[in-house]
Amino acid sequence: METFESHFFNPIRDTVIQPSGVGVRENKEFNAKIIFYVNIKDSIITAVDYKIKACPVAIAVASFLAKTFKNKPVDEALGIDLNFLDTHLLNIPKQRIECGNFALEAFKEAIINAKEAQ
Amino acid sequence: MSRIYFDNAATTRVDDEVINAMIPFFTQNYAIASSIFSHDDGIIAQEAIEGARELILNKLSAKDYKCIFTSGPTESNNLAIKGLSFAKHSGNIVVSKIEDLSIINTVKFLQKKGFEIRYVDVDSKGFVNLDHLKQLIDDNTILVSIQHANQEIGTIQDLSAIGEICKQKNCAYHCDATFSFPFFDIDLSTLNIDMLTIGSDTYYGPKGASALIVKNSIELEPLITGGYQEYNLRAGTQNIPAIIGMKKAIEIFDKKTLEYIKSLKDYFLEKINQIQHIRINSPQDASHPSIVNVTFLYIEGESLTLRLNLKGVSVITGSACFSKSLEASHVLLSCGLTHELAHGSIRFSFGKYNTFEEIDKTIEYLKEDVAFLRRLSPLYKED
Repeated sequence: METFESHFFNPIRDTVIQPSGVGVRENKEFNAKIIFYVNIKDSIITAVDYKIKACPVAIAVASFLAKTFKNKPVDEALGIDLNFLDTHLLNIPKQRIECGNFALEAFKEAIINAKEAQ
Repeated sequence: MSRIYFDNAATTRVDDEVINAMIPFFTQNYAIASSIFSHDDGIIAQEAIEGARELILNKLSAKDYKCIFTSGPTESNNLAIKGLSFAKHSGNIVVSKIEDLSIINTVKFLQKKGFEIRYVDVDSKGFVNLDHLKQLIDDNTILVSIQHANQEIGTIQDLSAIGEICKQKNCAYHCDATFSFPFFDIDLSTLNIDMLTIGSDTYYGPKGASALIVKNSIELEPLITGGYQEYNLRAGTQNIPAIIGMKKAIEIFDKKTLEYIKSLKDYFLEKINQIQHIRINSPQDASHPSIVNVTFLYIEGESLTLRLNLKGVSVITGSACFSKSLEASHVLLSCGLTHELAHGSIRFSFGKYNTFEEIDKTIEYLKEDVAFLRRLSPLYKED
């Protein structure tokens, strides 16, 4: 099992030079911003990258999503929710799981935009 | 791994001399002061407390005041504010927007009980707007409570000017000096302060000790009823070992210690400039000798704090989880900082057990971690 700590301290990223989809989420109150970049080919996510200024939970979730869903079907990625994060990424403080949703929403938006662009 | 503790404004390590002074009151002289009329052990306990009281009152040149020992600054602040408000029954209370939560949440409580609360503005460095203070005080003002040193950015208020305004307006003035005593000399014979809160555990004394210094003419309602301790204003057995520890901590806090702490802060301020895109939130002058609050632009404070913690450095942030409330620091927001600046802030507070080498090491860690987080940030563009 992967942990929140491992993803926060060593976030995994990819290289997406010309993304087929971009997703952005911004929270003015917490002054957090995340931009996800994905490439999709034949309904498979071929690359995931992101830029993020946010709390440790959001950074860890972004990293976890980038690692977990590379080379996975688009529909599988779109089907996940907070419960998936809670189950598969250990040690996220319960009261902070919502911070992960911030990254998840941007990720899904990037995939949807990439699908629409195809 | 030996850790680097830069959170001395939260609490400090207890000095060995303080511990040694406390131990006999756990193991030999463990009687309570209320037993003074029954046995010699009680007399020893009573004399120990009175000795501490006398030292504190002398240190503050507090001739017409009493010293009430409590369990901590939060209780002292509660006793000052609720105690006076309950004695007065109604009226308005004026506080600054950047007080400690033991003040802010106490006046919010009193607001629910029918008291009107008025908040004084501060400027970008946390200094109270004295004109605004004058405007807020009227005939119904029963109390002004404005701190001496700020807990997050270290701003030192002008107690003389605030006291003078309160005197002219004929209202009581309470000052929370938890973070400033004994770093600064406070002379109650010249300042118009009616009540003063002091702590113990931020200058190498133990937790569980504090005092509220109250002018004899001030009437307070006790918050805790029971026995007749502490002038009938704070019932319950006194925590004698902690009071003795507090006394010892005051006795041994000297100019040399203060100068050393100041030199650590100056060294840090010189070194931190090696990192670009920072904002020092603490004032340059009239600032606490131990506290530096810095915003690292383009990154989030909690992420930086956690990365420093992994490397063994203890600091706190004004960001989301600062108080587990997910809200940015009320102090920084009241100073007019944007959410971005407030969320990127870190408080470093130095103490006598810190070294210059620890600062060097921390600066190197900061360079690495700030650069790492900025590379991730969508807001940061490399120069």
